[in-house]
Amino acid sequence: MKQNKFSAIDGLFRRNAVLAEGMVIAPIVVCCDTLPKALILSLAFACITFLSVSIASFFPKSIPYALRIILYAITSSLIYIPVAMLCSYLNFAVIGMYLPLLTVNSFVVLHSELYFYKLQKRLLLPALFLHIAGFCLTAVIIGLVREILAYGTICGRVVDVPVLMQGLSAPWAGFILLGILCAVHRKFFPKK
Amino acid sequence: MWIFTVFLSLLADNLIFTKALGTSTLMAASKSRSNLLILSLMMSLFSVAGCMLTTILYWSIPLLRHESVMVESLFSPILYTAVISVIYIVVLLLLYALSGKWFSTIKKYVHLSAFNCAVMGVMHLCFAPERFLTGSFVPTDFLGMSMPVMDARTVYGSLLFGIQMGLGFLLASLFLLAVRKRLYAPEVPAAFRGFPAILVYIGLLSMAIHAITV
Repeated sequence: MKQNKFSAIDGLFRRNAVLAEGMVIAPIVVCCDTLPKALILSLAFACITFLSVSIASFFPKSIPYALRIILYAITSSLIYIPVAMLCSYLNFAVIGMYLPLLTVNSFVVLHSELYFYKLQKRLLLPALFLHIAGFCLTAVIIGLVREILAYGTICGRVVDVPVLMQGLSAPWAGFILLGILCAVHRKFFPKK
Repeated sequence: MWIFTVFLSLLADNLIFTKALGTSTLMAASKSRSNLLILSLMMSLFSVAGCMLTTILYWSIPLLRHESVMVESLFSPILYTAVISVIYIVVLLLLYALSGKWFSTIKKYVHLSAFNCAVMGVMHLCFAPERFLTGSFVPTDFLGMSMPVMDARTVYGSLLFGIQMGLGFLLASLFLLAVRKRLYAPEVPAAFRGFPAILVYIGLLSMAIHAITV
């Protein structure tokens, strides 16, 4: 039976894609070392994931899962083409190879099947929107903290930071900061 | 000495520690030892087979080799997805025929290891348009051996590249396996137990590797 309710706080916080579910970690760890990069990543992720999951929701469930997962990946690869063309105008090159990798993110190939397609159709889009917003929120927080601490700037504008830790722009710092943020998240939204 | 060089080489080019690719899959599989090992082997298989099949396709269908980096990067996800899909179906059919009653247990690993950032990332690294259009090669020599760097566009080169990346993933899994029990132990503060502790642990390892290889 399909679920007929979800709460807004679920998508944004309680079931946050990155902090609670551990999905789409790589782009956040590597790309989100400044706020502009985090915003760019969020926009690309939102476009690819929202369109892919909504279109893929029309695929009949009578198709075996093994074939459906292929269709999901191909759908997002097709959606990637216009998104990447749009990206070429917006200096999305900063994300590098992580942009095409968004086509096979866990949201599209795994979480859609386990969560979104179990919701009633009328709830699918709002739930999807809120889950994507949860991802974007995490990306922005990580990007903002790393930019301030590593470069002493916010969106390129210098702010007064007594000590700069440039190493925080490296992937290892992304892992550690994300781990700490996960722990903070878990403090407020403990697992049942 | 050779073993040490190989070890360093696997760390320096490690998918997880240097590019964070496949971290989500590693997290999902970290709940049990058998999960981690089977998944690492599966992902190595997909990486190797994916790189080799793509190389063969690039050589046999000249249309796929486009002069423009932009066009190449737009269509590469579809090509890689198609290649992985073919391998995925072949692996599923083979397992169905060979594994008998174990098939229902094993197939979840196949689903998880086929379509993920690590396998696709290996293919993107192996066939990065910037690299082959300028005639350069796979970024490092194989496992620290002093053999010449390999052209990713040869079946042999892509095979070795896939193996190196697969072994790197396996090594990262072994690192995680070694401490998995402790990261889930009751002594670890509840907020950090499990997933957050794994992230911090990977971060610390990544920092150490970064320091060694700089």
